[in-house]
Amino acid sequence: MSNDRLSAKDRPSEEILNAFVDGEFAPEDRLSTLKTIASNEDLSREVCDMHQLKELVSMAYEDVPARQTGRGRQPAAGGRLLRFPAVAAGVLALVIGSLGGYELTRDGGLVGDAIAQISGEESDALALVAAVDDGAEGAVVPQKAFAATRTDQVLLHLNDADTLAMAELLDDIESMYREAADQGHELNVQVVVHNNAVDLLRADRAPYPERVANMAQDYPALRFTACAQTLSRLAREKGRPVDILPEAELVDSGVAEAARRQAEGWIYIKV
Amino acid sequence: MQRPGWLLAGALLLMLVAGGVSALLFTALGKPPVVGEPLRVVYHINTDAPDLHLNALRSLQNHIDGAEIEQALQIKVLMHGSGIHLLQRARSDPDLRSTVNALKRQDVRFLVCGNTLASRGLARGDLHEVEDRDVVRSGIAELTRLQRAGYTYIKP
Repeated sequence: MSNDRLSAKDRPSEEILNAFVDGEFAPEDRLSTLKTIASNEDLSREVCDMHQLKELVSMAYEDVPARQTGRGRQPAAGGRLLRFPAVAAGVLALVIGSLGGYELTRDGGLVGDAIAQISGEESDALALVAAVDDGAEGAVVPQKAFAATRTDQVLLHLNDADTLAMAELLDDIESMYREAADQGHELNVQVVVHNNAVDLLRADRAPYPERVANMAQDYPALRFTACAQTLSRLAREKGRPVDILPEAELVDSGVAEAARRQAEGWIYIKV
Repeated sequence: MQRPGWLLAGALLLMLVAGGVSALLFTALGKPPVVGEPLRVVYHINTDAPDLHLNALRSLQNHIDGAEIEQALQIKVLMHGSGIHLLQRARSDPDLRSTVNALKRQDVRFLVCGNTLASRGLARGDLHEVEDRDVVRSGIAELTRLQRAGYTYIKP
Protein backbone atom coordinates (compact mmCIF):
# COMPACT_ATOMS: atom_id res chain seq x y z
CA MET A 1 0.00 0.00 0.00
CA SER A 2 2.59 2.48 1.10
CA ASN A 3 4.76 1.39 -1.79
CA ASP A 4 1.98 2.06 -4.22
CA ARG A 5 1.50 5.44 -2.75
CA LEU A 6 5.18 6.17 -3.01
CA SER A 7 5.41 5.19 -6.65
CA ALA A 8 2.25 7.10 -7.36
CA LYS A 9 3.91 10.05 -5.73
CA ASP A 10 6.97 9.67 -7.91
CA ARG A 11 5.03 9.17 -11.10
CA PRO A 12 4.11 12.78 -11.89
CA SER A 13 7.70 13.92 -12.13
CA GLU A 14 8.45 10.91 -14.28
CA GLU A 15 5.55 11.76 -16.54
CA ILE A 16 6.73 15.29 -16.81
CA LEU A 17 10.18 14.12 -17.75
CA ASN A 18 8.84 11.63 -20.24
CA ALA A 19 6.50 14.12 -21.80
CA PHE A 20 9.40 16.45 -22.08
CA VAL A 21 11.72 13.87 -23.53
CA ASP A 22 9.24 12.31 -25.95
CA GLY A 23 7.46 15.47 -26.83
CA GLU A 24 8.33 18.64 -28.55
CA PHE A 25 11.80 19.24 -27.22
CA ALA A 26 14.36 16.51 -27.28
CA PRO A 27 15.08 14.23 -30.14
CA GLU A 28 16.28 10.96 -28.67
CA ASP A 29 19.79 11.32 -29.91
CA ARG A 30 20.27 14.35 -27.75
CA LEU A 31 19.14 12.44 -24.72
CA SER A 32 21.31 9.48 -25.56
CA THR A 33 24.24 11.84 -25.93
CA LEU A 34 23.56 13.09 -22.48
CA LYS A 35 23.28 9.53 -21.23
CA THR A 36 26.53 8.51 -22.83
CA ILE A 37 28.29 11.36 -21.15
CA ALA A 38 26.78 10.40 -17.84
CA SER A 39 27.82 6.76 -18.04
CA ASN A 40 31.30 7.54 -19.28
CA GLU A 41 32.27 10.09 -16.75
CA ASP A 42 30.53 9.33 -13.47
CA LEU A 43 28.80 11.22 -10.83
CA SER A 44 29.67 14.76 -11.66
CA ARG A 45 28.29 14.20 -15.12
CA GLU A 46 25.20 12.66 -13.69
CA VAL A 47 24.68 15.67 -11.53
CA CYS A 48 25.12 17.90 -14.52
CA ASP A 49 22.77 15.74 -16.45
CA MET A 50 20.11 15.83 -13.79
CA HIS A 51 20.48 19.50 -13.38
CA GLN A 52 20.25 19.96 -17.07
CA LEU A 53 17.03 17.98 -17.21
CA LYS A 54 15.60 19.84 -14.28
CA GLU A 55 16.51 23.14 -15.79
CA LEU A 56 14.89 22.32 -19.08
CA VAL A 57 11.83 20.89 -17.41
CA SER A 58 11.39 24.02 -15.39
CA MET A 59 11.86 25.97 -18.58
CA ALA A 60 9.14 24.07 -20.38
CA TYR A 61 6.82 23.98 -17.40
CA GLU A 62 7.17 27.33 -15.79
CA ASP A 63 5.04 26.37 -12.82
CA VAL A 64 7.43 23.68 -11.66
CA PRO A 65 9.95 25.42 -9.42
CA ALA A 66 13.57 24.52 -10.09
CA ARG A 67 14.76 22.40 -7.19
CA GLN A 68 17.61 23.68 -5.18
CA THR A 69 19.03 20.31 -4.14
CA GLY A 70 20.88 19.81 -7.40
CA ARG A 71 22.75 23.02 -6.93
CA GLY A 72 23.58 22.22 -3.36
CA ARG A 73 25.16 18.98 -4.37
CA GLN A 74 27.28 20.34 -7.15
CA PRO A 75 30.14 21.73 -5.08
CA ALA A 76 30.43 18.34 -3.42
CA ALA A 77 30.47 16.61 -6.76
CA GLY A 78 32.95 19.10 -8.09
CA GLY A 79 35.09 18.46 -5.08
CA ARG A 80 35.28 14.80 -5.84
CA LEU A 81 35.95 15.04 -9.53
CA LEU A 82 37.99 18.09 -10.25
CA ARG A 83 39.95 19.15 -13.29
CA PHE A 84 39.25 19.11 -16.91
CA PRO A 85 36.49 16.48 -17.25
CA ALA A 86 34.32 18.38 -14.84
CA VAL A 87 34.86 21.62 -16.67
CA ALA A 88 34.22 19.92 -19.99
CA ALA A 89 31.02 18.50 -18.63
CA GLY A 90 29.93 21.93 -17.45
CA VAL A 91 30.68 23.49 -20.80
CA LEU A 92 28.94 20.67 -22.61
CA ALA A 93 25.92 21.07 -20.41
CA LEU A 94 25.97 24.79 -21.05
CA VAL A 95 26.07 24.28 -24.81
CA ILE A 96 23.34 21.67 -24.76
CA GLY A 97 21.27 23.76 -22.42
CA SER A 98 21.54 26.79 -24.65
CA LEU A 99 20.78 24.75 -27.73
CA GLY A 100 17.83 23.22 -25.96
CA GLY A 101 16.59 26.62 -24.94
CA TYR A 102 17.00 27.83 -28.48
CA GLU A 103 15.13 24.84 -29.87
CA LEU A 104 12.26 25.37 -27.48
CA THR A 105 12.18 29.02 -28.28
CA ARG A 106 12.22 28.42 -31.98
CA ASP A 107 9.43 25.87 -31.75
CA GLY A 108 7.37 28.32 -29.76
CA GLY A 109 7.96 30.92 -32.42
CA LEU A 110 6.93 28.55 -35.15
CA VAL A 111 3.72 27.67 -33.43
CA GLY A 112 2.94 31.31 -32.94
CA ASP A 113 3.69 32.07 -36.58
CA ALA A 114 1.47 29.27 -37.75
CA ILE A 115 -1.41 30.60 -35.71
CA ALA A 116 -0.82 34.12 -36.91
CA GLN A 117 -0.62 32.92 -40.48
CA ILE A 118 -3.84 31.01 -40.20
CA SER A 119 -5.70 33.95 -38.70
CA GLY A 120 -4.28 36.14 -41.40
CA GLU A 121 -5.50 33.88 -44.14
CA GLU A 122 -8.79 33.56 -42.42
CA SER A 123 -9.39 37.27 -42.41
CA ASP A 124 -7.98 37.78 -45.86
CA ALA A 125 -9.41 35.19 -48.15
CA LEU A 126 -13.04 34.64 -47.59
CA ALA A 127 -13.16 31.68 -49.89
CA LEU A 128 -10.83 30.00 -47.46
CA VAL A 129 -12.97 30.66 -44.43
CA ALA A 130 -14.66 27.31 -44.51
CA ALA A 131 -11.54 25.27 -45.05
CA VAL A 132 -9.47 27.17 -42.55
CA ASP A 133 -12.20 27.31 -39.94
CA ASP A 134 -12.91 23.64 -40.27
CA GLY A 135 -9.30 22.75 -40.16
CA ALA A 136 -6.60 24.24 -38.07
CA GLU A 137 -8.04 27.45 -36.84
CA GLY A 138 -11.54 26.76 -35.78
CA ALA A 139 -13.50 24.64 -33.45
CA VAL A 140 -11.76 21.37 -32.97
CA VAL A 141 -14.76 19.69 -31.47
CA PRO A 142 -17.17 20.33 -34.34
CA GLN A 143 -14.50 19.11 -36.71
CA LYS A 144 -14.43 15.84 -34.85
CA ALA A 145 -18.19 15.61 -34.79
CA PHE A 146 -18.34 16.03 -38.55
CA ALA A 147 -15.38 13.84 -39.27
CA ALA A 148 -17.23 10.77 -40.50
CA THR A 149 -19.93 12.17 -42.77
CA ARG A 150 -20.58 15.78 -42.10
CA THR A 151 -24.20 16.68 -41.64
CA ASP A 152 -25.21 20.28 -41.30
CA GLN A 153 -28.49 20.90 -39.55
CA VAL A 154 -29.85 24.34 -40.08
CA LEU A 155 -33.02 25.85 -38.75
CA LEU A 156 -34.29 28.92 -40.61
CA HIS A 157 -36.73 30.89 -38.52
CA LEU A 158 -39.13 33.36 -40.15
CA ASN A 159 -41.81 35.52 -38.63
CA ASP A 160 -42.16 38.30 -41.16
CA ALA A 161 -44.30 38.34 -44.30
CA ASP A 162 -41.79 40.05 -46.58
CA THR A 163 -42.25 38.20 -49.88
CA LEU A 164 -38.98 39.46 -51.33
CA ALA A 165 -37.14 38.13 -48.28
CA MET A 166 -38.99 34.83 -48.74
CA ALA A 167 -37.92 34.58 -52.36
CA GLU A 168 -34.34 35.30 -51.38
CA LEU A 169 -34.56 32.74 -48.61
CA LEU A 170 -35.59 30.10 -51.16
CA ASP A 171 -32.62 31.20 -53.32
CA ASP A 172 -30.33 30.77 -50.38
CA ILE A 173 -31.67 27.33 -49.54
CA GLU A 174 -31.11 26.18 -53.11
CA SER A 175 -27.67 27.64 -53.04
CA MET A 176 -26.90 25.80 -49.82
CA TYR A 177 -28.06 22.49 -51.23
CA ARG A 178 -25.98 23.00 -54.36
CA GLU A 179 -22.96 23.72 -52.24
CA ALA A 180 -23.61 20.72 -50.00
CA ALA A 181 -23.86 18.50 -53.08
CA ASP A 182 -20.61 19.95 -54.45
CA GLN A 183 -18.80 19.23 -51.22
CA GLY A 184 -20.50 15.89 -50.69
CA HIS A 185 -21.96 16.47 -47.27
CA GLU A 186 -25.43 16.03 -45.85
CA LEU A 187 -27.63 19.02 -45.23
CA ASN A 188 -30.84 19.11 -43.21
CA VAL A 189 -32.72 22.35 -43.45
CA GLN A 190 -35.89 23.07 -41.55
CA VAL A 191 -37.85 26.23 -42.24
CA VAL A 192 -40.05 27.29 -39.36
CA VAL A 193 -42.62 30.02 -39.97
CA HIS A 194 -44.86 31.66 -37.46
CA ASN A 195 -46.86 34.87 -37.13
CA ASN A 196 -47.09 36.72 -40.44
CA ALA A 197 -44.50 34.48 -42.06
CA VAL A 198 -46.98 31.58 -42.20
CA ASP A 199 -48.04 33.22 -45.45
CA LEU A 200 -45.15 31.35 -47.03
CA LEU A 201 -46.95 28.06 -46.40
CA ARG A 202 -50.62 29.10 -46.37
CA ALA A 203 -52.61 27.35 -49.08
CA ASP A 204 -54.61 30.53 -49.76
CA ARG A 205 -51.78 33.07 -49.65
CA ALA A 206 -48.48 31.35 -50.45
CA PRO A 207 -46.47 33.61 -52.75
CA TYR A 208 -44.40 30.81 -54.29
CA PRO A 209 -46.33 27.54 -53.91
CA GLU A 210 -44.84 25.84 -56.97
CA ARG A 211 -41.35 26.67 -55.91
CA VAL A 212 -41.94 25.30 -52.44
CA ALA A 213 -43.40 22.14 -53.94
CA ASN A 214 -40.47 21.70 -56.31
CA MET A 215 -37.88 22.28 -53.65
CA ALA A 216 -39.56 19.88 -51.23
CA GLN A 217 -39.42 17.30 -53.97
CA ASP A 218 -35.82 18.03 -55.01
CA TYR A 219 -34.45 18.06 -51.49
CA PRO A 220 -35.92 15.34 -49.28
CA ALA A 221 -33.97 16.65 -46.27
CA LEU A 222 -35.68 20.03 -46.54
CA ARG A 223 -38.70 20.52 -44.32
CA PHE A 224 -41.20 23.35 -44.33
CA THR A 225 -42.93 23.66 -40.98
CA ALA A 226 -45.60 26.05 -39.78
CA CYS A 227 -46.62 27.02 -36.29
CA ALA A 228 -49.88 25.34 -35.31
CA GLN A 229 -50.64 28.01 -32.74
CA THR A 230 -50.45 30.76 -35.33
CA LEU A 231 -52.71 28.79 -37.65
CA SER A 232 -55.32 28.11 -34.98
CA ARG A 233 -55.28 31.80 -34.03
CA LEU A 234 -55.85 32.71 -37.71
CA ALA A 235 -58.63 30.14 -37.90
CA ARG A 236 -60.32 31.68 -34.87
CA GLU A 237 -60.03 35.16 -36.35
CA LYS A 238 -61.37 34.10 -39.72
CA GLY A 239 -63.97 31.69 -38.42
CA ARG A 240 -62.75 28.97 -40.79
CA PRO A 241 -59.81 26.60 -40.88
CA VAL A 242 -56.64 27.85 -42.57
CA ASP A 243 -54.96 25.20 -44.68
CA ILE A 244 -51.28 24.87 -45.39
CA LEU A 245 -49.52 23.63 -48.51
CA PRO A 246 -49.38 19.85 -48.90
CA GLU A 247 -45.57 19.92 -48.60
CA ALA A 248 -45.74 21.74 -45.28
CA GLU A 249 -45.93 20.20 -41.82
CA LEU A 250 -47.26 21.54 -38.56
CA VAL A 251 -45.23 22.03 -35.43
CA ASP A 252 -46.92 22.75 -32.12
CA SER A 253 -45.17 26.10 -31.67
CA GLY A 254 -42.74 27.88 -33.96
CA VAL A 255 -40.73 29.41 -31.16
CA ALA A 256 -40.62 26.18 -29.17
CA GLU A 257 -39.45 24.33 -32.26
CA ALA A 258 -36.68 26.87 -32.82
CA ALA A 259 -35.56 26.49 -29.21
CA ARG A 260 -35.75 22.70 -29.39
CA ARG A 261 -33.62 22.50 -32.49
CA GLN A 262 -31.01 24.80 -31.05
CA ALA A 263 -30.87 22.64 -27.95
CA GLU A 264 -30.30 19.68 -30.26
CA GLY A 265 -27.31 21.43 -31.77
CA TRP A 266 -28.87 22.78 -34.94
CA ILE A 267 -27.49 25.95 -36.39
CA TYR A 268 -30.03 28.72 -35.94
CA ILE A 269 -30.61 31.57 -38.34
CA LYS A 270 -33.32 34.14 -37.92
CA VAL A 271 -34.31 35.31 -41.35
CA MET B 1 38.10 24.01 -3.48
CA GLN B 2 40.34 24.63 -6.44
CA ARG B 3 39.84 26.50 -9.61
CA PRO B 4 38.12 23.79 -11.67
CA GLY B 5 35.40 23.59 -9.08
CA TRP B 6 34.75 27.27 -9.43
CA LEU B 7 34.82 26.96 -13.17
CA LEU B 8 32.24 24.21 -12.97
CA ALA B 9 30.09 26.32 -10.73
CA GLY B 10 30.53 29.22 -13.14
CA ALA B 11 29.56 27.06 -16.07
CA LEU B 12 26.47 25.87 -14.26
CA LEU B 13 25.58 29.40 -13.41
CA LEU B 14 25.94 30.39 -17.05
CA MET B 15 23.71 27.47 -17.96
CA LEU B 16 21.13 28.68 -15.50
CA VAL B 17 21.25 32.12 -17.05
CA ALA B 18 21.00 30.70 -20.57
CA GLY B 19 18.09 28.57 -19.50
CA GLY B 20 16.39 31.54 -17.89
CA VAL B 21 16.84 33.69 -20.96
CA SER B 22 15.55 30.92 -23.16
CA ALA B 23 12.56 30.49 -20.92
CA LEU B 24 11.83 34.18 -21.18
CA LEU B 25 12.16 34.08 -24.96
CA PHE B 26 9.95 31.03 -25.05
CA THR B 27 7.28 32.83 -23.11
CA ALA B 28 7.60 35.94 -25.23
CA LEU B 29 7.51 34.22 -28.60
CA GLY B 30 5.18 31.35 -27.84
CA LYS B 31 2.27 33.32 -26.52
CA PRO B 32 1.55 36.66 -28.10
CA PRO B 33 -0.41 35.95 -31.30
CA VAL B 34 -3.47 34.38 -29.70
CA VAL B 35 -4.25 34.06 -26.04
CA GLY B 36 -6.94 31.47 -25.55
CA GLU B 37 -9.89 31.39 -27.88
CA PRO B 38 -10.49 34.42 -30.05
CA LEU B 39 -13.83 36.15 -29.79
CA ARG B 40 -15.73 35.01 -32.87
CA VAL B 41 -19.02 36.73 -33.51
CA VAL B 42 -21.19 37.21 -36.55
CA TYR B 43 -23.87 39.90 -36.64
CA HIS B 44 -26.69 39.14 -39.04
CA ILE B 45 -28.50 42.02 -40.71
CA ASN B 46 -31.22 41.38 -43.26
CA THR B 47 -33.71 44.16 -42.78
CA ASP B 48 -33.74 47.74 -44.00
CA ALA B 49 -34.17 49.64 -40.76
CA PRO B 50 -31.84 52.63 -40.29
CA ASP B 51 -32.33 52.75 -36.53
CA LEU B 52 -31.68 49.07 -36.19
CA HIS B 53 -28.57 49.37 -38.31
CA LEU B 54 -27.09 52.14 -36.23
CA ASN B 55 -28.01 50.40 -32.97
CA ALA B 56 -26.54 47.16 -34.20
CA LEU B 57 -23.25 48.82 -35.06
CA ARG B 58 -23.18 50.55 -31.68
CA SER B 59 -23.77 47.25 -29.91
CA LEU B 60 -20.96 45.84 -31.95
CA GLN B 61 -18.63 48.58 -30.77
CA ASN B 62 -19.69 47.93 -27.18
CA HIS B 63 -19.06 44.28 -27.77
CA ILE B 64 -15.50 45.06 -28.85
CA ASP B 65 -14.95 47.49 -25.98
CA GLY B 66 -16.12 44.86 -23.53
CA ALA B 67 -13.76 42.17 -24.77
CA GLU B 68 -10.55 41.30 -22.96
CA ILE B 69 -7.76 43.52 -24.18
CA GLU B 70 -5.48 40.68 -25.18
CA GLN B 71 -8.26 38.63 -26.73
CA ALA B 72 -8.12 38.25 -30.49
CA LEU B 73 -11.28 39.44 -32.21
CA GLN B 74 -12.86 37.93 -35.30
CA ILE B 75 -16.05 39.82 -35.85
CA LYS B 76 -18.15 39.87 -38.98
CA VAL B 77 -21.24 41.68 -40.05
CA LEU B 78 -23.16 39.69 -42.61
CA MET B 79 -25.71 41.55 -44.68
CA HIS B 80 -28.17 40.01 -47.07
CA GLY B 81 -31.61 40.76 -48.39
CA SER B 82 -32.74 44.23 -47.42
CA GLY B 83 -29.89 44.38 -44.93
CA ILE B 84 -27.51 45.49 -47.66
CA HIS B 85 -29.23 48.87 -47.62
CA LEU B 86 -26.92 49.53 -44.70
CA LEU B 87 -23.97 49.79 -47.06
CA GLN B 88 -26.03 51.57 -49.70
CA ARG B 89 -26.97 54.28 -47.23
CA ALA B 90 -23.42 54.47 -45.91
CA ARG B 91 -22.49 56.07 -49.23
CA SER B 92 -24.70 59.08 -48.56
CA ASP B 93 -24.98 59.12 -44.77
CA PRO B 94 -21.71 60.41 -43.25
CA ASP B 95 -22.56 59.28 -39.70
CA LEU B 96 -23.26 55.76 -40.80
CA ARG B 97 -20.22 55.76 -43.03
CA SER B 98 -17.84 56.84 -40.27
CA THR B 99 -19.33 54.24 -37.92
CA VAL B 100 -18.72 51.55 -40.51
CA ASN B 101 -15.21 52.81 -41.19
CA ALA B 102 -14.36 52.93 -37.50
CA LEU B 103 -15.40 49.30 -37.12
CA LYS B 104 -13.46 48.31 -40.19
CA ARG B 105 -10.36 49.86 -38.69
CA GLN B 106 -10.86 47.45 -35.79
CA ASP B 107 -10.80 44.53 -38.22
CA VAL B 108 -14.55 44.03 -38.33
CA ARG B 109 -15.43 42.50 -41.69
CA PHE B 110 -18.57 43.57 -43.56
CA LEU B 111 -19.74 40.70 -45.74
CA VAL B 112 -22.37 40.93 -48.45
CA CYS B 113 -24.47 38.15 -49.95
CA GLY B 114 -23.75 37.61 -53.64
CA ASN B 115 -27.21 36.14 -54.25
CA THR B 116 -28.74 39.35 -52.96
CA LEU B 117 -26.61 41.52 -55.21
CA ALA B 118 -27.62 39.39 -58.19
CA SER B 119 -31.33 39.24 -57.39
CA ARG B 120 -31.48 43.00 -56.80
CA GLY B 121 -29.33 43.92 -59.76
CA LEU B 122 -26.74 45.67 -57.62
CA ALA B 123 -23.02 45.92 -58.16
CA ARG B 124 -20.29 46.20 -55.56
CA GLY B 125 -19.88 49.84 -56.52
CA ASP B 126 -23.42 50.59 -55.33
CA LEU B 127 -22.30 49.83 -51.80
CA HIS B 128 -19.85 51.57 -49.53
CA GLU B 129 -16.37 50.13 -50.08
CA VAL B 130 -17.14 46.51 -50.79
CA GLU B 131 -14.31 44.51 -52.27
CA ASP B 132 -14.40 41.18 -54.03
CA ARG B 133 -13.38 39.34 -50.91
CA ASP B 134 -16.33 40.86 -49.02
CA VAL B 135 -18.88 39.17 -51.26
CA VAL B 136 -19.97 35.69 -50.25
CA ARG B 137 -22.00 33.41 -52.48
CA SER B 138 -24.92 32.91 -50.14
CA GLY B 139 -25.50 34.81 -46.95
CA ILE B 140 -27.36 32.00 -45.23
CA ALA B 141 -24.75 29.44 -46.21
CA GLU B 142 -22.08 31.75 -44.87
CA LEU B 143 -23.93 32.10 -41.57
CA THR B 144 -24.06 28.33 -41.36
CA ARG B 145 -20.39 28.02 -42.09
CA LEU B 146 -19.39 30.64 -39.56
CA GLN B 147 -21.52 29.17 -36.81
CA ARG B 148 -20.11 25.75 -37.49
CA ALA B 149 -16.66 27.29 -37.17
CA GLY B 150 -17.49 28.50 -33.69
CA TYR B 151 -18.87 31.97 -34.35
CA THR B 152 -21.57 33.17 -32.02
CA TYR B 153 -24.66 34.25 -33.93
CA ILE B 154 -26.27 37.56 -33.08
CA LYS B 155 -29.36 38.88 -34.78
CA PRO B 156 -29.76 42.51 -33.70
